[in-house]
Amino acid sequence: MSRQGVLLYIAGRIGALLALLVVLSFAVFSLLYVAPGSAVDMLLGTSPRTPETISALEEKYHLNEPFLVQYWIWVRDAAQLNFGTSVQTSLPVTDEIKARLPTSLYLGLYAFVLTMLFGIGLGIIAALRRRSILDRGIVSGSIFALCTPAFVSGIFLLYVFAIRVPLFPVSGTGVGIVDQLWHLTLPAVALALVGAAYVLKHTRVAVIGVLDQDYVLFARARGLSRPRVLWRYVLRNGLIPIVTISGVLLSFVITGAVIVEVTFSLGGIGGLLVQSANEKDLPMLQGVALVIAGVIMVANLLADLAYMAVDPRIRLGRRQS
Amino acid sequence: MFRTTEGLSEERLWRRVLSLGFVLALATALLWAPGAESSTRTTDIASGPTGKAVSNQRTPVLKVGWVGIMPNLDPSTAANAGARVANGLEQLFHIGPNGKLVPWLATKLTVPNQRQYVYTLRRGVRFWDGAELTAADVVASWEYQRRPGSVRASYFKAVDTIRATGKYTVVVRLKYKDAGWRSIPGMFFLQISQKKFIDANRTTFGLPGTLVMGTGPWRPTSLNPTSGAELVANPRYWRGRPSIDRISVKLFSNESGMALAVRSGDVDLALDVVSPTTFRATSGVRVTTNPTCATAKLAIPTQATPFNDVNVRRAVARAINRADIIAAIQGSGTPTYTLIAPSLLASLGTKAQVQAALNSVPKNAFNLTAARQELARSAYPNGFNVTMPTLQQLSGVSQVIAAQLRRIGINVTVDVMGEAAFYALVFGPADKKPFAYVTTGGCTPDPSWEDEIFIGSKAAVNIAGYAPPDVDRMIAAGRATTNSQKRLRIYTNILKRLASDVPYVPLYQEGHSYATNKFVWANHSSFWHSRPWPLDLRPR
Repeated sequence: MSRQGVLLYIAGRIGALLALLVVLSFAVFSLLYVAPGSAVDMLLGTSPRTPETISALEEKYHLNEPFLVQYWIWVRDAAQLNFGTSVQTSLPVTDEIKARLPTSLYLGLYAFVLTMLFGIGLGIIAALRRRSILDRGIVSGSIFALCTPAFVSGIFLLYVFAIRVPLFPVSGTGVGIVDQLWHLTLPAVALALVGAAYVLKHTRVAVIGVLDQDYVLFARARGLSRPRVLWRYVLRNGLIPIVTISGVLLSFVITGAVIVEVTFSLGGIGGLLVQSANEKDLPMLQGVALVIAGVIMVANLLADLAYMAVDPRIRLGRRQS
Repeated sequence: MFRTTEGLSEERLWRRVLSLGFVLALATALLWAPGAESSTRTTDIASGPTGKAVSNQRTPVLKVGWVGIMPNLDPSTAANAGARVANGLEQLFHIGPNGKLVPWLATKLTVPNQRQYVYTLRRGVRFWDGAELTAADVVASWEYQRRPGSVRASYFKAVDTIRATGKYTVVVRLKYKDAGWRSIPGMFFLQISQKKFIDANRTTFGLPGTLVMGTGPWRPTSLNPTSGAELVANPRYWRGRPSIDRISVKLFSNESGMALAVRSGDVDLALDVVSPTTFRATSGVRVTTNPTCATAKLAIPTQATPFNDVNVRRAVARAINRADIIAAIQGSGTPTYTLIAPSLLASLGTKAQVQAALNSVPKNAFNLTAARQELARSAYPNGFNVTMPTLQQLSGVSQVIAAQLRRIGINVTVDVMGEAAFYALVFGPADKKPFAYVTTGGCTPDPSWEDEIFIGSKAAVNIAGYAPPDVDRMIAAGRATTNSQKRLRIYTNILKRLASDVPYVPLYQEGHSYATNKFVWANHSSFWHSRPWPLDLRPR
């Protein structure tokens, strides 16, 4: 695929992302009317129900306008990142999301790096040492990690590394990059354990499959060094399926960390989603759902781009045919 | 496999470009993530050692833990339970452990007639920006808190006008005689802020970035709704510079996390502990529980079937075993049989007089035989099914109540819901009021507290929908007089009527618990929140 082709592909994907966001925004906006109870009750929250408050609410949310007009007003504001105010806290939804999203992004990316580092690294070692004691040990450890829920590993890590041997803080997110790194290490490890185990198993299988291929044998026969064979031939081919699932993993660690957020008292986007769903805080739910959808789509787009970078057959496929 | 004879350099170039782009995006995101404090601005105030110290033993920083969210510091909005922890504002009076008003920002209260209350302010009290506290600030603060839409507006229902008649004199005129108004200005939600500040920040008062302007010993300098607040000592405090230089309030999403933080030393004092036994075991520190005048109760909607049948309500009352409920709340309460806390009647007579009055009120004590007999006399002798809405934090006790009622044939399904849905029922129409276990968490020192909120046609919530005309007359009579003996008679009669009609089943006097090994909290009582509570802390 030529340079132009790649750019067109990226532009097409971004266009599809935006189109999907529009469809999703329609579904998210419709929640207000699909949910049981009246829209007024949803938006009143704990405020007293008086003619004045109802009238103010109807004016603020244009509840007397036709549905599509209301949607247009809402999506126009949403495009400017204005999702209204939270029913529960009276704070602007955008401010609440802005206060929490950085924590989730930082934690998610930190956990993602640990996931890939340990998952791929240990998976390769297990594959290269297959059927050895080391391989058995790593695979057993991965099964144990896969079976351990994040809140269990989180509490265990807290007890061992924050209480018994106080290397890390018990809670909070810290201020500044280094302080945040220190505060988020235990939550990131708790979050990364399951993902790393998953990546480890896939990496091991993929690398074992590639190690037996003729081109690897030929590369060794040609006298290429072991690291070069490993990097240029084995990993390049073996990691293709790993790159494919990395997008899913990335979006999960950013948006699905609610259990870890609660365990470590971190104010993240996952906790905000659960809290707003529990409290039927519709404006917050709409804003958070759209933001999470955006994060997932971007993560998958990055994964697809990485996939193209790793596997030029994807880029060259058209030209070859 | 990947090598072709044509476009090799181009392929390599684009591979590298895409790879580099991906890595750069990842690195940028990692490095860019602003700190958790991004939604607030911290403005340090010089807290140099000027002014008189309240205590000789200085504490550089007090780390306070609290479970919940703290979206704002405005005492007049919903979801502000955290405001009393961290907003630094003060009232005209604070309420002592014995329920008596103690002069604070006001030095004197004069009541020339039962419809007029004259407050004389303390001179020389300064706000954090140096401006002096005047009557105009008090008027502006109370008018702000009684504005339409304020959750505190109901406390002003008896108030006609609030006027500043001099620089340091505020006069409140009531629409009718109301003895309950006397203690309202001592409650945490009638805090005083600066008129100029309120006028300039009416729509953002108390929000992160705006905060508040008060006179208290500590000034909030930052608020993050998810992580907490920071306060620094006020060097110009009218009682002298406080001994604690800085207060750091940390928010937690659950008590376990807070308990671990206490154990590791990240938190010095944990406030509002709900499960004392569990907290003690996890944190390893002392948990202190003191009784309050708030009454936890089972609300029975008297306007909805089947509870409009008084025999059903009596059956429910006799089926409740308070010992099990106290065990469910891990001992953070004491059983009670009267809706009005006995301590709220203490000021109406001698100990013997008050005890005699309480002894004359029927108890509706736990007795399964009596409960079944009451149900047999009702229109539902074979029992019935009912749903009991509840909040997550109240679901444990709700389950205990459900199990107890099942023994007499009332099949209760506990429905756990979010706050918005629950309070929509609580504040909703009379025929849809919930059959629910509720706690109040706070109280005024006046016996009219329960009718302020729960009984009578003028009550703010009245979940039971209970407002018989004669009870309304008794409530009005109790508020219209300040004669202690008369009030004791009136409230005793109200309690007797409540014991007969059973719109609520009083369960226990709520306790307030805190945990710390580092401090001694002197004067901890029902009304700990009516004054800057860290002033009562002394390092152990």
